Amino acid sequence: MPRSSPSLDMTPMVDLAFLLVTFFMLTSQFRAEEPVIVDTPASQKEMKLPDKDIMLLTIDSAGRVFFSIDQKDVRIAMLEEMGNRYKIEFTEEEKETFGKMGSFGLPIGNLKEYLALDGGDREKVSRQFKGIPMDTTTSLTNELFNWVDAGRRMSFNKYQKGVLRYAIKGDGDANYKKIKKIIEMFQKDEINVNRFNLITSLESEQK
Amino acid sequence: MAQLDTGGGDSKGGKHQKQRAKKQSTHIDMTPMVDLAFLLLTFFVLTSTFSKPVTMEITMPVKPKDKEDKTEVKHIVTLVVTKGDTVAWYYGKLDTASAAPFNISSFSKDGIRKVLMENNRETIKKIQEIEKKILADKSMDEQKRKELYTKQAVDLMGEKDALTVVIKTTDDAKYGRVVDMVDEMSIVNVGKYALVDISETELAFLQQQKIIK
Repeated sequence: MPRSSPSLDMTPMVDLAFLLVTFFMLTSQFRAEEPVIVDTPASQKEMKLPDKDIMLLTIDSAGRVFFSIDQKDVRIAMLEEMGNRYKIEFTEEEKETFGKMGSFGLPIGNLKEYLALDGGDREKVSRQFKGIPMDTTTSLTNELFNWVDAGRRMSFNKYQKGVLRYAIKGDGDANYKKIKKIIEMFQKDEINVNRFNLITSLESEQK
Repeated sequence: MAQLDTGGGDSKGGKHQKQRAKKQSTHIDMTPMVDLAFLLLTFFVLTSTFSKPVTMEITMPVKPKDKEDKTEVKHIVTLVVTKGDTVAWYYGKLDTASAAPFNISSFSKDGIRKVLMENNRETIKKIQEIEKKILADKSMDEQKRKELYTKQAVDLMGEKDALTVVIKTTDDAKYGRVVDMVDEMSIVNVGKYALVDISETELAFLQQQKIIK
């Protein structure tokens, strides 16, 4: 009598599993590292945000501002430009880390030590900061203005001018005054942007 | 590592081994591979983001160089989004002679939406008419119909006598409420709206009416 083996033919299952793995590998896009969770307000708009050429400003419920721009080469060029403006020298390693990083919200003076940290520690540390400092001027004290300006310039250098979109991801509980200030900053003559993308979540039920 | 199941690697045991050698199978123990595959699968399922964020595009009015108010729009509603659950509004020009020029409404369905719908009923009616007309027209495919409808609706909303809405906010208004209001514009078919700074006169009246402190 042949000994019956307890193993079964797993080939179809493996086929399926690998098919799914391949599918998810090819379709998935990694969620960018986000230092803060923002509860966006709901809307019934169904326009999708393109996944390229976005400058993203995140405002959390406490009014802290986080900045991010996509494309690694733009980010690195932007960091160099910011280093020139603020007289901070960044090493190649730091530039590389910065290029891969997501949103950040801290004064540029603290950026060097922040880049030296591990991903997990960064999240913890970023809670201590009050976002990117901003005021109503266009001088060096308005760091947010300088980030936006540098990011814009570098993006225009590397890519076609005018493709960059400006997205604002605000928490529903954030004070509108803060967002108004940011919009006013964008409308200054030096930047002169009047069109924004407000990121919302899709409203499921009719109010 | 995958192992070839040769059925016992014993070189000794003459008779026994011969029998086994005949049965030598090509089956590979796939369990570790499957484990790995499912591990990867789980990882990708959990980390992947399917839904792209939705966005609402707004164009802010360019800051006028002179502060003079040159609006000649007649059919206009001004909303003031405040901190709480109330939204103050008035129709046309601010009636400075009145003690209480602001009407008070809420964010609910029967609140400000009703007000806007009433003020915009002409345009809504026209849009419903063309919607009906286009839906009845079976000569076009669905996409074409949708395009035509959107185009005509946008034209209607931009007409001179269509409603214009000015959204103003007090300093302590919540961002979510402002987005709600902008969203409301598309629900009630208002094509002409803008986010504008509040004036001193309006603030004074709001205080007088005890809508804001």
